[in-house]
Amino acid sequence: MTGHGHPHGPVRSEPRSPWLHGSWLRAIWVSFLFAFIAIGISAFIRYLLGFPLHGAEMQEVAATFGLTFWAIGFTVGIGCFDYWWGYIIGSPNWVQEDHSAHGAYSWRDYFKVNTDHKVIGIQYLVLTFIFFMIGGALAEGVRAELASPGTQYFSPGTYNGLFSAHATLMIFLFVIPSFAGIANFVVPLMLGAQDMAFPRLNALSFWLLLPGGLIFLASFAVGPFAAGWTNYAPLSVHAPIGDTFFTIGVQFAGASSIATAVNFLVTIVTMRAPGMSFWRMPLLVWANLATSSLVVLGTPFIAGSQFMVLYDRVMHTHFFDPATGGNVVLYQHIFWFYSHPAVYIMMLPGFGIISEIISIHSRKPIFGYRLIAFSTVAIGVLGFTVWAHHMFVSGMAPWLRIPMMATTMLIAVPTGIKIFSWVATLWDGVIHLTTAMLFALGFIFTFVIGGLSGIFLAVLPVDINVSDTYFVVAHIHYVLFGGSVFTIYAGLYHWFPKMTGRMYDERLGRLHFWLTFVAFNATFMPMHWLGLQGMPRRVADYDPRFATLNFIISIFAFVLGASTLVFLYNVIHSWARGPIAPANPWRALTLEWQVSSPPPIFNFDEPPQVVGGPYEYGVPGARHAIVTVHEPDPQFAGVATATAVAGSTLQREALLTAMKHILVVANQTVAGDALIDAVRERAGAEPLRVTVICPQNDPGGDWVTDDRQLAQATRERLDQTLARLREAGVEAAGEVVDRDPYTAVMDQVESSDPPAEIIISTLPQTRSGWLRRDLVERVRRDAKIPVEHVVVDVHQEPAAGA
Amino acid sequence: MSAIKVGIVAIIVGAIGTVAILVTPSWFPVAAAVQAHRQDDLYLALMIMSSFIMAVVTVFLVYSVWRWRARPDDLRDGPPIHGNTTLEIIWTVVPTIIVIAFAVAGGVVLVKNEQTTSQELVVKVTGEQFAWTFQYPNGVVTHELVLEKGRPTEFAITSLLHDVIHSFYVPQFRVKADAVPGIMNYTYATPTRVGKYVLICTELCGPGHSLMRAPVQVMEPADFTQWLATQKSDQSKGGA
Ligand code: HEM
Ligand SMILES: [Cu+2]
Ligand SMILES: [Cu+2]
Repeated sequence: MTGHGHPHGPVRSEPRSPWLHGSWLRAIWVSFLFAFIAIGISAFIRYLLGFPLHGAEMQEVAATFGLTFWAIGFTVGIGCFDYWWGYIIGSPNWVQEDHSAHGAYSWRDYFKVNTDHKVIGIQYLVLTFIFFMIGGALAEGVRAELASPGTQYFSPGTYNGLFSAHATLMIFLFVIPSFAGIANFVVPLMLGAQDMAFPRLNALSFWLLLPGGLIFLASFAVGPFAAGWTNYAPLSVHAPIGDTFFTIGVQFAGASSIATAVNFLVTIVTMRAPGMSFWRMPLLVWANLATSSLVVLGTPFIAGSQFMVLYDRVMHTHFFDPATGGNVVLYQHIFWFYSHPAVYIMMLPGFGIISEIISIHSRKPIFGYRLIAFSTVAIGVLGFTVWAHHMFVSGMAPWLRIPMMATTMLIAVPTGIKIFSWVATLWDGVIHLTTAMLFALGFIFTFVIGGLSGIFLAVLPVDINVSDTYFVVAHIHYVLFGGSVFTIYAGLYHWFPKMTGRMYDERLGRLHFWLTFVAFNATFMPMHWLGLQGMPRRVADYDPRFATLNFIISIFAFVLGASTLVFLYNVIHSWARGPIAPANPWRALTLEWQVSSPPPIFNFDEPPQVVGGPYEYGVPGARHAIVTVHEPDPQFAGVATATAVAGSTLQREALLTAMKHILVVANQTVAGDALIDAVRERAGAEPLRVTVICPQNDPGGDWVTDDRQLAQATRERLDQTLARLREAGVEAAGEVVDRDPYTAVMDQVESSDPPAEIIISTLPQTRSGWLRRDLVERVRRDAKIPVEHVVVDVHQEPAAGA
Repeated sequence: MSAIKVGIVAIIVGAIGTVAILVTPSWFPVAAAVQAHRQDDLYLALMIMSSFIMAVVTVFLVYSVWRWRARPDDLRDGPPIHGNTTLEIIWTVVPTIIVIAFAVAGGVVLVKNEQTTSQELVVKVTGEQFAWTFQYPNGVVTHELVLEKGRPTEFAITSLLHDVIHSFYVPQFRVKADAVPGIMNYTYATPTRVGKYVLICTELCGPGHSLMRAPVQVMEPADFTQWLATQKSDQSKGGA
């Protein structure tokens, strides 16, 4: 036990009403309040200036301010700013080291603002997967319309809205943020850090995403944005009000990515464990370093481009109006200056995931580690020099085309290096075809096709022919679905045991892979041919001679959609009922596998010492890092060793942290039957370790004792209890502490080995000094973990003597 | 099997792919311009290159999985090979050479495709939601694009000032250029085949985008001259 006695109790004495404290309820009313105030103020100003308060102009203004402040209000209401606000106003309840929103103790915590990178990672993955399914449903709508030529289900305007929203959700709310989700969970662990550098900013990044996505979807209520995810001016400037929703939604998704990227950069640069030099970082970390740099440098450009469209729409600024000196092509330059790097933002993290998986599941060091790391950085740097390859036919300065072709082609070189290195890693490996590995191998195949079609598109005369045809649609899906989405699936399967503590079902996983792989290729491969034959992209209607092929494509597109359900079933079922996952099912070396599954709340008790490279498979005796886990009590170490009979030291350490930690607080009642039964009952349900504390003093009360005899008696009762618990198969340790009970409990809660649950045992109401001082209530309020109160009537229990 | 043997198999597979690519009757709609033939040749060269790269990657991938697939209870590790400098240099340098070769070829074809001559026909193309207008040097304005076989043609493409972007694309010519408000954009085609084609808009321009098309016709020089003259007289009559 820590002996220091800093003043405890964030003393939050006011009752926590969900109307007033960070919650969904508050998020709803605050967001709409913000929106109405913003609309009200802008309407008032218009009134003062003599502008009409109705009509299209007013609607644009209302949408702009209403949506922006609605989204900001949402993040305020849900509680992202509570900590900072408490600091700003000097709230007496404000606590510097406030971990109250850290870690999840029940599924409900996933619906609240949380600062734990692991919780945030899962929040990201679940939310983005929901958007993936919505985006997928929109795509099925597109394919339904295209199953035969002519107009079937949707008017051309709605059709344009469908594919625009499809692409927007997939890019801004699925691929980009789900990589952020995986990285959030994995990267701090891989670095040996306890969390991200800025956990509260991390939470804010996540909560910005949801309003952004909802704004995109809300546009369907007013007529969806229909100028494509590229939102080219002047089409977007002239478009109806739905386009305003796009320009604003992008700002929130973009702000979310920028904040996350800054967080990753600082985390990766400053929070690596001792010994983790750059050349010992796992390749996923390298990938995130490069990606985050791209995001930080690039995303402001798309934000700028959408602000300019918004200003043109709402304030008539004429950035893109050639009649008044604006320039239409300017939009595309700004847009692609972000959106080309964005394609690498959507691919580099996937490359990182694949490097991890290929090496681990073929039990070989990654082939050419340094060259892969270099190629990642090279792609990141070159990525900023190729944007105009999306503009070869746009009417930009003609001389720019050949240099942009050259740089674009050069990017294929580092990309190729990665592919060849992965294939060489497989050579002579011990290849385990887990589902994660299947997706990784499938990815290599599909991504080579996507990369090669990219080279076709870079060769100017070929691009001039196939640009804006279905060939480009095929290319982007080979790189974004066959590329990014396959890597996301691979990563989800690979880290599923770590994230959930459960194993997924390999048979269902294999079924999912093969369904997806076959349906994917059958859907998108023929699109190359459609493009070569001259079918333009983004059309609701097409030449009847393409009818048969389009029909077949649509059928496979539905199969592809259905394959997602297999994944979904596997995840939900395994998460709830799957076999318990060991700490390190893949026998991997990187740090995230050296802690329990799921990892303990602060990941590592001590920064791990990194001693070697991350992929030293097959090197005798090689280790990447040494992980030390604090053992709460020496008594306890012996028991733990016995538990992990066959395990290595690492596994033993992991096991210790995996067991649920319960804190028992008792004094006179410590050997009571009711208490021991309560503990035993829990031990039946899951592996348990228990720390029992017997607080001796109560300075706040009216007595202070240094009665050695009394302490000795307590000690005896404690030992008796510990013995009985161990008999019952519970890992138990404990001590008599010289403090008041409240402080003693809070010391434990905030220690580096916090309990997941507390049991307070007291005498019945009338005879308990602790109850008179509301101990249970105070602990419940401040500890924020489940607290059970057990009443032991010592005089009725024969066993509890003394 | 050694890596060399697998490599030989890969090259054979790549060669078979090449044959398949070359015997495929049509990758594209009929080629109706000089530019189209050049594009098609470049495309075939790219396909052949891709066939070999695909073959190398896939054959090694499939072979490795087939050969070294392990049972789940196999706890061995592979040999600790960290890399091979020669190989790494090869797969950096060879692709660099390939892409530079294609970049040069692409550049040369582009320059050839866009050469201008003094006898070329200049047609001004204007896009608007959702129609195309063509204007000939003698002032004739039509909604059908009529061209002269064998005559290099420059398309000066734009869009109405208050309109949006469209894109001019004739698949049989393999050339495309956006019609941008406020900008004159150019593309070039020398038709080589008499026939009727369709001009399609390839830049999303609103609800009517998928139907924004215009007929294209290539005529023998004599027919073309006659057509142009008839149009001229019709239009001046209509205008008077
Ligand atoms: C070898 C690597 C690659 C090369 C050489 C390449 C080249 C190109 C080129 C030249 C275009 C423009 C086509 C046109 O609009 O005319 C294009 C479009 C596109 N590429 Fe790639 N690409 C590569 C990899 C990727 C990757 C890895 C991604 C994403 C993960 C990606 C995503 C896209 C997207 C989304 C578009 C279409 C954008 C749009 O117009 O909506 N590409 N690519
Ligand atoms: Cu690009
Ligand atoms: Cu169009």
